[in-house]
Amino acid sequence: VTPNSGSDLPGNATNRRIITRYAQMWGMRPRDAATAREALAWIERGDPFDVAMPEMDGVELGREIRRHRDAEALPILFFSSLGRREPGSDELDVAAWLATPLRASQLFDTFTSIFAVAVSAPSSRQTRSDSEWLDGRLAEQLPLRVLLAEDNAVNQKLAVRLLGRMGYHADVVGNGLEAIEALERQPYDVVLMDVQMPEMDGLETTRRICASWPQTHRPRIIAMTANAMQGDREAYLAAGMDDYVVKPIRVEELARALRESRPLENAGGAIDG
Amino acid sequence: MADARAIDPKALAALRELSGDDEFFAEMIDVFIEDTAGQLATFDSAIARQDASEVRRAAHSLKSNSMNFGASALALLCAEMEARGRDESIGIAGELLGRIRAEFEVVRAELLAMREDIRL
Repeated sequence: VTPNSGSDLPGNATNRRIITRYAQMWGMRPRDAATAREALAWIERGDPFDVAMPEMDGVELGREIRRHRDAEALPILFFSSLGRREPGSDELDVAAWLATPLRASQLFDTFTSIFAVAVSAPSSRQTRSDSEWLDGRLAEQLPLRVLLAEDNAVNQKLAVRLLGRMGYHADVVGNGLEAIEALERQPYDVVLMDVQMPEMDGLETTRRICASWPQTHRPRIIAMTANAMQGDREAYLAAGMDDYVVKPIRVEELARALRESRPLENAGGAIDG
Repeated sequence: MADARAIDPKALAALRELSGDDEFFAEMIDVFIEDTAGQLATFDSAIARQDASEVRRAAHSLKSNSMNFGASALALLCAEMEARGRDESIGIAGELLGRIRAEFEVVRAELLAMREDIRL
């Protein structure tokens, strides 16, 4: 399952909630449409999706989707009780039929098989393997002073490890107050900011950083979050965060976020102004 | 194919690869198990004093950890607990906590078996 894949999901609220949770858990970015019309509006205006999962009026919506995108551009997954095939669906070139109640393993296997095909297709974007990112060269090419603000011991350990394998030595703090204290002591180019922390959470910390340091003097703030629904993302940006990575953290996504960061020009002399 | 395992082997394999070496991977397992004991204790005390935000925080943390280890069912139970904490509806969270404990026991057993396999 690719990190940037989205799926759109009209249908019954419970199934949508279940699928949304699973999809987020696996690092996807689902968009949840309450009605077929809403889903279709997204398709018509060209929003990118890697998979569509219509439920209510599925066949009719599927037919409308196919007028805009073929099976290669947008695989369709149907789910129905007992996985029964709906009449009239043959022409839609459906990628898979799922039976409700939905099971995690079934959904996961289906996503994996669909995206395994997509990855081998010539049109797919080039991906680099994790180990290529973890050769320590990223930090050589792009030296950054990284502050990690994360209270959870497991995530902290894993993030420090991944950064270390990319060549970065990160300083670690356990909450937002400590993050601000660290920034007062020395400049950082990047703060990897957990959103939910005790004492002061990531959003409040970001607001304070933005209020205290002008943009040219403050680090790029990258949220680390398990919640990447549209409303959440808007809240992060509104608080002043520059970017976000979805947990569980993936090497490729972390590397992308770091590569979009730059050393601050005014401090530390890491690069020529 | 139905999969009775509590841990998705692909997710766990990915974490093992990210870990770089098995010694570190084994440490991750230990930290997860230790951390979870703390979160379960937090659930007990926070539910007892009806502290919804503390329940939410502990549930979020355990959910996040479970996802790292591919413990999808445990993560879903925690997501449910997190939602109850957010809605301040933890009055009858005891039953859900029981399911979280039971699922974690299965997860823990599978992780310890894995740890045994890699002989660390």
